[in-house]
Amino acid sequence: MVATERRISTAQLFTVVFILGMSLKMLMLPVLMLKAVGRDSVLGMAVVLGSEFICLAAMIAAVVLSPQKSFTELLEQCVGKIAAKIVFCLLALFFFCKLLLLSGEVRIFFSENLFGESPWSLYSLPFFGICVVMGMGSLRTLGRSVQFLFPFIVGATVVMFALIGTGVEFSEVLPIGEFGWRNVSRAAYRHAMWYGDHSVLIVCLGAVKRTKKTAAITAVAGVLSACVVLFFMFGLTATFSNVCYLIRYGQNVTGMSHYALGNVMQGRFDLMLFCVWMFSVFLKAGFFMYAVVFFVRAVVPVNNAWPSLITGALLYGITLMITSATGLHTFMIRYAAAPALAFQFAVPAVMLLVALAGRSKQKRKENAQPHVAAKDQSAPTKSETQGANHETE
Amino acid sequence: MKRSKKILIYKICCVAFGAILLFVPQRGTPYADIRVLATVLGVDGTDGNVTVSAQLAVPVAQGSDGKASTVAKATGGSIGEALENLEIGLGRRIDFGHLSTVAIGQDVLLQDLRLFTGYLMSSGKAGPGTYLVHCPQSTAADFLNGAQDMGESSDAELDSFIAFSKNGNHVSTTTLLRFLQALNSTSHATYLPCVALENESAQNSGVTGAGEGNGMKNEQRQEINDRQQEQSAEKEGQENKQQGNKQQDKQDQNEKQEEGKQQEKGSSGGQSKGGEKGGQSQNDQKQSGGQSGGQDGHQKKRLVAANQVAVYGGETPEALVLDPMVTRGVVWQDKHSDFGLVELRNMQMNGTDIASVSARLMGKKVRVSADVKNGENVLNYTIKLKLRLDDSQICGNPLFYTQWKNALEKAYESEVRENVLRTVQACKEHNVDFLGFREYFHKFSKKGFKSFDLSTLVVHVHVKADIIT
Repeated sequence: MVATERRISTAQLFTVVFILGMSLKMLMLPVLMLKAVGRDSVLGMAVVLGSEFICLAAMIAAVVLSPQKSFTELLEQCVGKIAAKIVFCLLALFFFCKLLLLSGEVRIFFSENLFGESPWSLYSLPFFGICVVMGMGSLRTLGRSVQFLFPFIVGATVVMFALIGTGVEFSEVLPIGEFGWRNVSRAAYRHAMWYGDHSVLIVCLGAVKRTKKTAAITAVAGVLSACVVLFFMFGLTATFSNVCYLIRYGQNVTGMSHYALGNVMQGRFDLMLFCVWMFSVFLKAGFFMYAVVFFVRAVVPVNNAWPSLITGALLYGITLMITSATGLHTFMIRYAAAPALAFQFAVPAVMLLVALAGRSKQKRKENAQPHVAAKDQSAPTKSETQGANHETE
Repeated sequence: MKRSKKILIYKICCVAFGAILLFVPQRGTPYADIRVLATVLGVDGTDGNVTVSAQLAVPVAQGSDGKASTVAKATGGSIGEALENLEIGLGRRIDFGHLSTVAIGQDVLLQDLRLFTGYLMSSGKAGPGTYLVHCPQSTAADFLNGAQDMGESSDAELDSFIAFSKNGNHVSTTTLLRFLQALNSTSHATYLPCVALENESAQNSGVTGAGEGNGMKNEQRQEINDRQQEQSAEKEGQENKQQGNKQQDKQDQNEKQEEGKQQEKGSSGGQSKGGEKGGQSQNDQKQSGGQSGGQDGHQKKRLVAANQVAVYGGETPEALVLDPMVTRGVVWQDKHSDFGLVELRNMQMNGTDIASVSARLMGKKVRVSADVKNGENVLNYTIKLKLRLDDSQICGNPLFYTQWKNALEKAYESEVRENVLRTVQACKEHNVDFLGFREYFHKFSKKGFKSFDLSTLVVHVHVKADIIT
């Protein structure tokens, strides 16, 4: 059972779901989709968001129905310790890959827009430092951090989108459907590693202070984040529809808001906004790190500092070995699409099944307990019987 | 982990990060010594022999009269190589983050322009919002050199003028992104606003008497520019003799670098090796100044912006420069130009002859719909204008509304309609779809797109002008 003081509130869950749904999908994924299927990338993104919402619904159901026990406890109860540990290892690996991809995206963004001539090995240090610190913390600490930074992130997003909304000719999105559904779904499949981020909510199982509105509020957060991503995808597609082959990887939301601002006439106000928005990416990275540490500790019960430090160091080492920033993209598209897609659907499914199994087990227990209690109340205890006999005597 | 240990780790991390930031190599050299800012870029030539020229921002002391920019030029086999040579020549890295305008020379062909602009955007050197202008009367390099003598104020730069044209004038402007979007659309054609420089009238140079000191500085600047132009002409001659000789290019760049340094130091041109030539050209300037009645002997330049557009696309690779009357229609149908002064001239209203009525455009909405009616492709423009009359004499009449407003609105509507239809006619005559009709059908009418033919296209223009006070 997760202690009450370690649980996150419904408000914190709302902010977490919003940020998880938004950040990674707004870095390089829109550009990659645009390059793959042109204007139909809007359709591709709609497919991605639809499938992601189904997964989120399953996860919300699991959170609401779970018997306030953590996923590790519930899975061990269901499948036994050894099988559970294998699953934990796979999950840790999956979230590590997600974190690796996210670090690659951050690298491309900063190398293209801010630190073109500085080495990644230098300016990535704070990023990995933040990840390590977040991995050491508790879920509640993470939830509170997200809640604290949420207004700033939303403010920056709203201003950026207001700029994009006024400066972009949205009719340029038309005509849609030239590539056909087959190509669109293929593009969506290839980039499976970029979505399914709500799966990290698995660490929140049994760790949410539930109210009657938890499910509805979380679903609203999911829908809002999906709308933000879709709006952004519309804007990007409308801006670069005919010249998507010229678009640069780093030219995403900042390029668009820069364009909408009137190029250099207003300065680089957009970059300031984007840097505030980037907090959402760092928080997401923190969540992935926390998930990795969570599952590593489920396999090897150690202090949470060591897994976090080792994971951070490993991640840093791997990113240093990858010389090309886009090399990671190629790897993820070629080799990680199928496993990522499987995980994306398997994680919520397993989470829901485990939660339901745990719930039914608890109900059986609860049903059994009052019966036993009633029996106990009606049947006199041995001492009472002895006492009574003694009095009779 | 204990709280105290955690705090210790955080402290160590902060100190380590601070130390890294403090000792990174970039901090050793001041930013201004390793970089220059390019604000305007000029491109000439064809792929294989590209000339780039850049207006570079030069740091000047606050309140000084020194020119805040200089122009540098380089050539190369491709635009990338030319830009690289420019940096080699300057001895500094050029920062294109503040590049606001790219000027295209008169001889640049469509296929080359596509290459140049594509390179600039995909390399990130020019942002998608960078303005593109065409120089119909000169090369871009000459235009940029001439632009150095533009305006009274030392900080009146070319990019400011073009930015004002976009925001404050009723002219058509094009960004790099919009240009490439249109060129890569199904219409395969688009337009660029034309800019040119003309010498200001003799009155300006003669009357102001801006002060001897200022005049001297202008002379020196003109001298440097003339010398630079002559030297670049000499260099071009040498280059023609030794085609493809890159060593010569590098030598040229080194010379330019020296010139650039001299300019930055503010030294007079007479001290350089080209001093004699500079002096000669200065004398020439003085003569022409004298002929025009100027006192300081310096002819300032004035920007003549965007009353014409150059069309790229269609069957001919060269730019087609439209006349100002046709250009008006282009501007009216442009959704992005919705401010500025619009004027009616020599009109008769209610039996009264009016020489001119000027109104300020306060807002414009352009809607375009494409449809197929009776087997014909029909395109409808709906243009809504909000105008505010500048002339207070007309507004001052208490009977204004009953007598003039409706008549003026109709006159404006008729004028705009005629302008747009004239442009449509020009589009058909030249058989270049620079207004993007085909693309409208591609977006909104698949049936019309399949059967699209520019010559048989029917265009209706509905204008609604609203004069507000």
